Amino acid sequence: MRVPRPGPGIGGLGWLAGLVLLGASSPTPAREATQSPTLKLPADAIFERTVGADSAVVFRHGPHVALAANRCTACHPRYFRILVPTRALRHREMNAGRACGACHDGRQAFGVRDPGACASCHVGRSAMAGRAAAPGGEGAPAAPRGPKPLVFPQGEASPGPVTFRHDTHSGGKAGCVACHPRPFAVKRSASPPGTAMHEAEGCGRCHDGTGAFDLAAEDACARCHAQEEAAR
Amino acid sequence: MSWGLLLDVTRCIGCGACAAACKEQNDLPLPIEERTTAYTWTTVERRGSANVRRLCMHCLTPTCVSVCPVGAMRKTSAGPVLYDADKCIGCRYCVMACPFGVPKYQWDRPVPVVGKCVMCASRLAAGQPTACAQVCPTGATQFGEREALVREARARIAREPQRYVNHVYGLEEAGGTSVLMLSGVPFEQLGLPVNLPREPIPLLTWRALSRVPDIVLLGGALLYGIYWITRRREYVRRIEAAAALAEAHPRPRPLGARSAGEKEAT
Repeated sequence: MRVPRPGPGIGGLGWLAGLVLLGASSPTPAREATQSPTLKLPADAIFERTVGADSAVVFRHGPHVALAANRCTACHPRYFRILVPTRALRHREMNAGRACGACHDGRQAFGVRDPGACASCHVGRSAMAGRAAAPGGEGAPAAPRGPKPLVFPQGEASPGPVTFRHDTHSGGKAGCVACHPRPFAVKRSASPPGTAMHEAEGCGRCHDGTGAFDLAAEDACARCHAQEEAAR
Repeated sequence: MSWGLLLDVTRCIGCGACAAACKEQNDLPLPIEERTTAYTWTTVERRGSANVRRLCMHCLTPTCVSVCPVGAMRKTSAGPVLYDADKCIGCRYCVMACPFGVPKYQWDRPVPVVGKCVMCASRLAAGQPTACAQVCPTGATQFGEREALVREARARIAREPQRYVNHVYGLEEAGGTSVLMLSGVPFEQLGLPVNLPREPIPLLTWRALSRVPDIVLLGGALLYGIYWITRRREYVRRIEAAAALAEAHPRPRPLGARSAGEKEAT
């Protein structure tokens, strides 16, 4: 018979559960006091398969456990498995009130769909590295880093290819949800957008002359389809 | 090699990770109830200022195993007391017999079975600690070889005598259990039975039951002897009575019948 070895508490033993939402990462002293300093919690769970260059989600058990008054059962096993690590989560399920969305619903904690809350979870690895380096410092919240620029090739009736830059389309106060998931799904579509992009279900939603320059204006074409002309 | 668990009530913060892990490991339905049921094999109860886990104590000589008429319960050499639902006939004798009130019955099922902690026997066989011990964030539930845990428990009491009641619960209770407990408050305050015999409870019946073959054999022989004697007495009495009767009233010879001497002469 094979003999089991006595287990090392929880250690890093594959039960990092949960994910997302670092928003509560600055616990007040009162919250901190509710957490026993001797708790052996799993290491930070880092979710890197996110949209964008450095937008990894880092989940830290400490603040969440303190906020839950040390009740592991607040999340386990109903929303997250406890014995095996959660490797992937989708906004779709969180938006539906599952996983992180069970608490991050905009009432108990900031919502997973809250405008401007993206960076609360999507802090990126580099931000975490900086936090760790600063002794005892929580650091400033990392600025959201958008995905890489999107290059749309020239269509048949198009005056030229379009390069869309996220950093100039931050969405204002609304944040990412100004454009996602409607009219643009977070996952980029494979087919070229076509002229429908000019309509209200595309860029035209904002580019109507009120929020941003009107796509129908005379000099408007070159402001997006600028690449081709610059190349010439 | 017998495994066990050491529960240190003074370290437990009642976080419920053990109960959550148990649910997940054994595929039990939520929610985690406040008392153990057929679907909640372990839970943390609040007793005053103490948090105390409830789970099967995995007795070294389990009463449930002793009383089960179909052998659905068995104690394994690795430590766990296992239950086989396929053998179970639903008599609930184990539920009544357990001194710790551990086995629970599925009262809400048309074909119910018993539910109780199985010390993650499959994980033990795979070389892993129990799920509850793996996730415990404070070390209140510790997995290990029972002998080592007994030493550890005694060492903790010796190290911090003011922190603990000077008693390792489960060391001798009901003949010893695989699950051991340390506490800072008297164990009766934790809702644990403290007046249990120090010897295995099945001994109680074993002492009587072990004599059954002797009693059956000796008693049978004795009863047969008495029967033989009374029957022989009756037989003798009847023979003697017949002889006396024949003597008093000799029977006339039937007509035409020859005497024995005449018959031989022909």
